[in-house]
Amino acid sequence: MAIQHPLKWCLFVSLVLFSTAGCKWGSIGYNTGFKPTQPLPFSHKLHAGDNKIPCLYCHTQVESAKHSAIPALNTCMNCHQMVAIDKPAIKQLQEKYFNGETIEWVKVHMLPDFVKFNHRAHVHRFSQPEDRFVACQKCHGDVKQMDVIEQINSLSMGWCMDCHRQSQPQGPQNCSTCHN
Amino acid sequence: MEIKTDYWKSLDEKYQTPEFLQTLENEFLSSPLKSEDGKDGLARRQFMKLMGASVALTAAACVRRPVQKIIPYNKRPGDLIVGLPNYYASAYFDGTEGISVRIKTREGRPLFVAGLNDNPLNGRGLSARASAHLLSLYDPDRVQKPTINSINPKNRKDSISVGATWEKLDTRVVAKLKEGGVGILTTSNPSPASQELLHKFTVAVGGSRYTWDPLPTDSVRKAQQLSYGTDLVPAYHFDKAAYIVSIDGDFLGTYLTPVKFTNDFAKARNPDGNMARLVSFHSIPSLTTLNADDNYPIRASHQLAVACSLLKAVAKAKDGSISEAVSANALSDEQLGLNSGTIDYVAKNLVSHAGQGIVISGGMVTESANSVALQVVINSLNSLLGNEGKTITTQGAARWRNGSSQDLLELVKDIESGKVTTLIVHDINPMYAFPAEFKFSEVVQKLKGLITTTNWIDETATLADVIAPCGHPMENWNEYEFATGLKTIQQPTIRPINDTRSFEDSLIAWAKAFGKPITSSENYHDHLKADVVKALGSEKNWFDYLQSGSRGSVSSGSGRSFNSSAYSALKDAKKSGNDIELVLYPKAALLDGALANVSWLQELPDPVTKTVWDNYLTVSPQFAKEKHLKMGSMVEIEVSGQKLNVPVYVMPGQNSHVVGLAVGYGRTKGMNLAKNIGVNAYTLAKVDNEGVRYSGLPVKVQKIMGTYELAITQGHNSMEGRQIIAESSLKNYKEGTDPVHRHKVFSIWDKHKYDGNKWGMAIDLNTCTGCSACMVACYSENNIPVVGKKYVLQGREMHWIRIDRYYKGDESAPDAVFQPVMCQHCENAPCETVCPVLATVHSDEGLNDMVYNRCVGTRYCSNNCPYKVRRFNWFYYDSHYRREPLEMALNPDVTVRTRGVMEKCTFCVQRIKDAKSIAKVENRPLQDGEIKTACQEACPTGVIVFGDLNDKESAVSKMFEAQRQYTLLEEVNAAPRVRYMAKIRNTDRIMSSPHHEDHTEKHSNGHANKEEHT
Repeated sequence: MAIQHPLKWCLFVSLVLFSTAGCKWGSIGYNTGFKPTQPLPFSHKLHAGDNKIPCLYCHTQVESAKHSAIPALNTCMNCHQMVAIDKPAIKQLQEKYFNGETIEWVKVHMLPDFVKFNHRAHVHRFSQPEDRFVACQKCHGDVKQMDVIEQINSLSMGWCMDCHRQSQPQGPQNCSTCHN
Repeated sequence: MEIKTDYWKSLDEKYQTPEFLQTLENEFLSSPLKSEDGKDGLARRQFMKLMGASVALTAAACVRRPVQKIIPYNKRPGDLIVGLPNYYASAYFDGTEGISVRIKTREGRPLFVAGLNDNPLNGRGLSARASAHLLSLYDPDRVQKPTINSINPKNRKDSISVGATWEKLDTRVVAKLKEGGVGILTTSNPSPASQELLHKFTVAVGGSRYTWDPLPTDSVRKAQQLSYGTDLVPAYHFDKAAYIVSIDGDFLGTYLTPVKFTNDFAKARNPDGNMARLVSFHSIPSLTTLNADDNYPIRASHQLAVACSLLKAVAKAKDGSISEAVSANALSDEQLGLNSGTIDYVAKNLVSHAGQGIVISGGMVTESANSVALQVVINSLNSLLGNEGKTITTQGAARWRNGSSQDLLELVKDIESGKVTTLIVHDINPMYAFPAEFKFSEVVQKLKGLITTTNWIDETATLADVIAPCGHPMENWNEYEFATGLKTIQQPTIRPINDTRSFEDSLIAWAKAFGKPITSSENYHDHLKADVVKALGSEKNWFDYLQSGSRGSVSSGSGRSFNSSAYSALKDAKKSGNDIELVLYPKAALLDGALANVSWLQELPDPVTKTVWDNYLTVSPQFAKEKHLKMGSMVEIEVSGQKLNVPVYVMPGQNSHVVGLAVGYGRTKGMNLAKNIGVNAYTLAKVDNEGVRYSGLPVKVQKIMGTYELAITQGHNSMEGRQIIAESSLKNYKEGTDPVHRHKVFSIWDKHKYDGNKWGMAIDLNTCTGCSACMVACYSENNIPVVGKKYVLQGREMHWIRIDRYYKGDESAPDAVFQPVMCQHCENAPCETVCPVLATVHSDEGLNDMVYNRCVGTRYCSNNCPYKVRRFNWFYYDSHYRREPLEMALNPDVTVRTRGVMEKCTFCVQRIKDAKSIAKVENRPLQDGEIKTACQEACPTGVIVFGDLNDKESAVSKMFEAQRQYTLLEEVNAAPRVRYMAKIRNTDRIMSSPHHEDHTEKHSNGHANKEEHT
């Protein structure tokens, strides 16, 4: 590689630095095991596990739309106007709610922009009438046991395709099934 | 190498000029890297080397992606589901036409505008403008807040404005109002409620009103008044017509209500049923001309003469008497520059289709000194033929068009006399659209106050004291009555993005602060709602109204009889024209220029000239020859002292005494995108006692040094003389002659098998008018980047669907055919076999999938595509959208592509997937017609039909079996999924047989050429 111009050296060095910094914001590898601390210590174990609140109580639109959507604060307040209002986290929640603010949750299950995942289709395919959790669990793991949500599966294309090929009947396997 | 063909796209192609042959040799206009590309930074390859090395050094240890946040609602609105669209019935008014639209919103932001299906106003579909006005909502150049300019009143010139609050602005305005001498200048307003408020406001402040439209209809109304005693613009029913004569009446492109007319026209053009004939006499070739079965170029000054000659011939055939005034203005065929017998032939046809004919004329192109006389003769013709009351009625007539250039003359007079000292301007940009003869920049100095409601710091706003931005139609409430009796609601689909307030709300606020409130309601929405609830009886009906989008039905009309005293208008008719006549005309995409800042419209090829990002002087080939002009030669034009330098466009089918220049260009302020594109043709308009003249202006054309590059998309992508267009005359078609030359094909490939769906598309060339609404809809739906003029010149435009315009025959009056071409989703797709990384593959539903994230940008697929429909992202074209709030216009369902990626039409696969998923969830089979592609939704004539070919009952399956169907380049046997229906021309001229005599020669040429590239 012929590098003569001093500016090009600068670029080279900065690219190396940039890519090193990429360990923090970088780009390669799947996010398996990603378990970020959330702004409020919301526990799925407590809500879905111990108290047996169905997934769809909060993630209401998962059956009708592509996104499962994080519940709006008014959903939390259905209970937390009464329940556990002495806990500091709930006080914080209430304050946010009554101030008209929102909470910036850290996204755990991330797909690139060129992948279009449809919750509606998957939930309908896999949920059973008595227990819809079966469907959720397939990708999100045993959420009922998680205090802090963690990415269990790689969410890589190979991982998706394994399921699309192995399940009976098979899932669609066109490129445009996920990419458009 | 020479290629013989009946059809041609440009004059260069017709005459096989060396330049054209050279472009053929190149095939692709753009070489991989231009020399200047490397100059701004490191060349791409060098960059890749460095990047690759540095990534390899460090990447191994990385695991984490950037942290993203999810921000839920505080309280989720009840009707909102994240990721599911909501649809609103609304209306869009583009300055001449009102269109019922359905606006799709996602998470509270409008994303896509489609025509409201089966609406009583215009049936279906929309115009390119209606689709594109979405982007103007997110225009970064819009005024952000109410603005006051303190320096201006003393000496009106450009100066910096200061943002203010509405309270401060209102105080300032009311102080001005209290000084008296208020004038209000607006365009015709199709909203009765708004009209009423404006009227009350004018009375309350003791002001005077002036109404003027850049797209004039005054002479039509004046002539209606003279002929029938009714001041209105009548309704035309093209669906009931069998014989249509247009004398410069561009009803398919720019005149009155083009979408409705196009809709109706298509209904009358069914070759298997009733097939109307369209004849065009034109000075400037327009969309109507290019759709005509027979077309005759005339001089602009002969519009009246043609009408009079027709009337004379019709009267003769009907054995009726004829007014002296009419015969005095009639001319012979030779004098009109027509083949002998033309007028008699057209008149004979008019008579034989009496009661089923329409003679139409009007618009900017006819606004000459004779325009009222012309309209009177047109009325007389229609009455004599019995068309009046049948195909032309007062039922559904527009009574709101009351703009008058007389008002403009008065306004200037009143300002000069000091009667008007404070001017409120709404919806007009006088500094831009007024003729230069008015010297408005001097007149405006006499004003003590200038208040404008514009959304841009435009030519007028820079001189104003107060800018009270009225916001975008998608942010405001309104109710329109485009056709008398039928009301249409315009409901907002987003909260105002900027701190804006609708014009009506401003009026209400100002009147209240002035001390004379004009309504008891708080704001315009409450006012409207109270009105409607009162009329409809209950609040529930109001919500039903919002759902359906319209209420009432067009009022009934009565037959009218022609009053022959109207001929008095012919008394002073000017008989002689000028040697060279300039005609100012609106373009089908940009119209009056109000949407000039919308990149989609600027990059939309003009349907007639296929030119983007410019206006130019259109001249006839003969004129060009005489004056030694070529495409892009610079000329200086002079109209009574006003001079402009413009490039030349050589336009086939234009009279050699006529030159044309489009309005809507040449913005100088406010609109950053439109700034300095083309020249402002409005300045050339002439003013006389009667009003503003746009047509038949005396002009001097002088060739000057220099040439200019016009970005013309048509020359690109030559199809090398094969059977791309199939067409036939109605007579041949009815006799059962196959309009298509069929090929025998065989394949060594196994055929694909489709168990589920098998998508296909059919396109009817017979009803495609080339209006280009589909192209803009595709932009909007598929996040298609805009590349700008520089890259269009290099052939890098990104349209997924293009509309090719082919000419046939003599250049002085050629026939034209439009053909939409998008990815043909070939069964034996040539692109699929050459992709080294499998980025384009066949799906099990017959789609040709394009996988952006796999594409490495070899462009082999594009090289191997016989239809040249694949588009490559040469640069970061998507950066155009990466500005706030423009990025909100991006469709979240479609990946935004960036540099180095090939893209093309997907048949709107996101819509297919969505509809299928819903049907599956609801456990029902997919209905035919449930999936509509974006282009299909936009089309006003139903040219494009999409559906499942495995369903034998589907509309598309039936079209695949039709007699007229053919595929592009059948002999190549790519087996496209798109079928075209041959064009049928209703003409008595003898048309050549579809079977090419020199078929073999063409083949060998085609192949020889292909080999050169491989």
